[in-house]
Amino acid sequence: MKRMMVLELKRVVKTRSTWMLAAGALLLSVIMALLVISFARHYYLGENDTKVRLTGRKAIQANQERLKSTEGLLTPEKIRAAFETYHEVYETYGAKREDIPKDIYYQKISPINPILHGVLEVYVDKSTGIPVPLHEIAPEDAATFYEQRTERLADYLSHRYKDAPDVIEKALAINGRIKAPFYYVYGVGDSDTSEYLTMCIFLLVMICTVIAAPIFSADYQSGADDILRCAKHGRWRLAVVKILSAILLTTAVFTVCVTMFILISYAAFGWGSLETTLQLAFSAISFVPLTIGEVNMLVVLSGLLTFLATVCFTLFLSTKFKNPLTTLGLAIAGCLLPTILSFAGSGTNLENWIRLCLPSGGVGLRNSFFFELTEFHFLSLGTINVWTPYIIPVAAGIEIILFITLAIRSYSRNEAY
Amino acid sequence: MELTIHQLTKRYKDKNAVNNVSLTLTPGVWGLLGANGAGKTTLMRMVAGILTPASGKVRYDGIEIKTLGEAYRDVLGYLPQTFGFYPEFTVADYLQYMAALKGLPKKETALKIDELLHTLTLADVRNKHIRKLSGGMQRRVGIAQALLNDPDILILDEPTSGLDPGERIRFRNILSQFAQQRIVLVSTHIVSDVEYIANRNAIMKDGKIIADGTTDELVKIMDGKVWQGTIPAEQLQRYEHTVRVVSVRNEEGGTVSVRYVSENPGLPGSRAAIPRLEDLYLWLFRGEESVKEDDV
Repeated sequence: MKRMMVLELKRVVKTRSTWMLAAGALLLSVIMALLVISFARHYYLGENDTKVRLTGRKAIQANQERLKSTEGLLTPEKIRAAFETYHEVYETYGAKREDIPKDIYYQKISPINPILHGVLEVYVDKSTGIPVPLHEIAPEDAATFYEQRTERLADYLSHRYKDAPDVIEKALAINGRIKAPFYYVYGVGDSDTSEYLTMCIFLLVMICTVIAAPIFSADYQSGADDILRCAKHGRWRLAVVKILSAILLTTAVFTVCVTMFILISYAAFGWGSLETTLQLAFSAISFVPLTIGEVNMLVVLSGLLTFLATVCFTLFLSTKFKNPLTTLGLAIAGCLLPTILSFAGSGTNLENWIRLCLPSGGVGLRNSFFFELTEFHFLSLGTINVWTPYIIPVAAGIEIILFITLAIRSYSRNEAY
Repeated sequence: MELTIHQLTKRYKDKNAVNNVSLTLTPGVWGLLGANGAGKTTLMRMVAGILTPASGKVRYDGIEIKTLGEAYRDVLGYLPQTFGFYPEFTVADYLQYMAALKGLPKKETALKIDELLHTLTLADVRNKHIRKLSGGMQRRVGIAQALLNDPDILILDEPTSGLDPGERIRFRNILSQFAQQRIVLVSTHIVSDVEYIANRNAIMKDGKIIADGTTDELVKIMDGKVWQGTIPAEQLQRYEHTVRVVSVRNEEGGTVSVRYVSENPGLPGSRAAIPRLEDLYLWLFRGEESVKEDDV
């Protein structure tokens, strides 16, 4: 088996289309990481009071410098101090940004913006649900941010899941594991890294689908399969070897590409920023007790499971169809189906179950594990309500085993064309 | 050693590709003759175990090949009509891959590959990509893979297609040597490929075996049905409508010598000729337009 494995891997690696696609995937990962860096912005007042814009690495460095005073633990004292600064500016220039002189804005408001945004999300008018203007929040009130946040989360959940008290209970239980005070370092959490990481995984899924689609179909089409399946080990052993080598190869492509993306983007935004609490990067009322680094690690792990589920699904299709193009067409359609459902679907409970349980349910243009993690979605299954980020990896894990088994069975029993 | 084909049937939509075929194959070379579409390939694929029959069984030494599974494939060598290979492989890579699939020990593999490359005169191209080889060479690579595991049962579907005359003769000799104590089933529509090496032949038509036996036994059927006559060349076209012409040879003085099959002499001055297997083939397929002289 080991010898067959080595020879099969050698064969697949030697295939020109495989290494061209792998090289393309690596290039794409690098480009996407560079794109995320290029999106970074920093503004300051230059000569003659003109607004100067920095982009890319320079902007990141300038932002790191500007936000240094805000970095670290976000203690109630720090929040109070930030609001005192805000009120100073407000009392002189008013609440409208255009009324605040640019140099004052860049000097005083910009560095405390991460705090202001967090507080703004938490303090809402309970009767209307509209955020309370910042100037109406006293520094002393702002200092009760953490208590207010839990209250706001409970209100939000009560409003959204009024008929499902167990959802509120579950969400608040998870929320209870969040450590306060929050921690903030400018970097990855302020960028689009997580969104582009998801996009990168989605593209890797598509590319590796192209690699996996012809694994069996091409042999059927060329007639090579007739010879292979007449050999002593040409049935289930060959199926196992082909499936494992395809999984190994595509996983290697995934690992190299994702590692490259992460290394480039993290190196640019700073490894220290991975400690930033999720609530300061996305939503202050999110009940997920994770840091940005942990979120991205989960996105990669869940992405890998989704990736493997899709590859295994494609391999299963490949054992079923003689024409590699038919296999590829169906596999790509399968990859895009969750995205199509998330765009065009009606969002019913059943539809969401289907969307998330599909092999590629964890990655897409509008559907992904990352989006589910930062949202507040629960799906009901009878009397049970399940938090959606749990569904994706569990479904993918089951599908990996299911489709490997089905592919081996299908190839071993398949009648020659 | 015995391979028994028992009432084998395969149906594609509304056509019986193989219709209730029974045959017992014993060691030696078996020629499976038939026109294109006669059902030879379908029959061979079922015997090779890659196609499931609609009904009937194939047994090797009394045990159904499906039951034998891996053990049957261990003694089987198969070359399909279309030799599919991995374009990225060199000849040596491919044979190594197939040797691993056939379960050959690593130590024996190199020796076996060297031996086969030498026998099939492929040694000079061992490191060349298969896709860059001529059709004949590719076919020989296909034959080499079939022989890798020294199979007790060798099934070759149109093995000589694409081979030049010299290669065909060499192939016949290899096969004759190889067939000692082995069952070799060779399908072809080129009768001369098996006429001299096949111990027994089976002739297929419309999915059925319409005749089988040794070459001598089969040829005997044609006693008194093969004729040779000489006619003016311009009369050939007229006689072609009344007799089944096997071959025509130009003679001196504007005449042609015609060999033909017919119940009775159909050309003036005809004399009986010694029958050959191709005469029988043409006789059995005399109703089919598709049987051309170059097929035999």
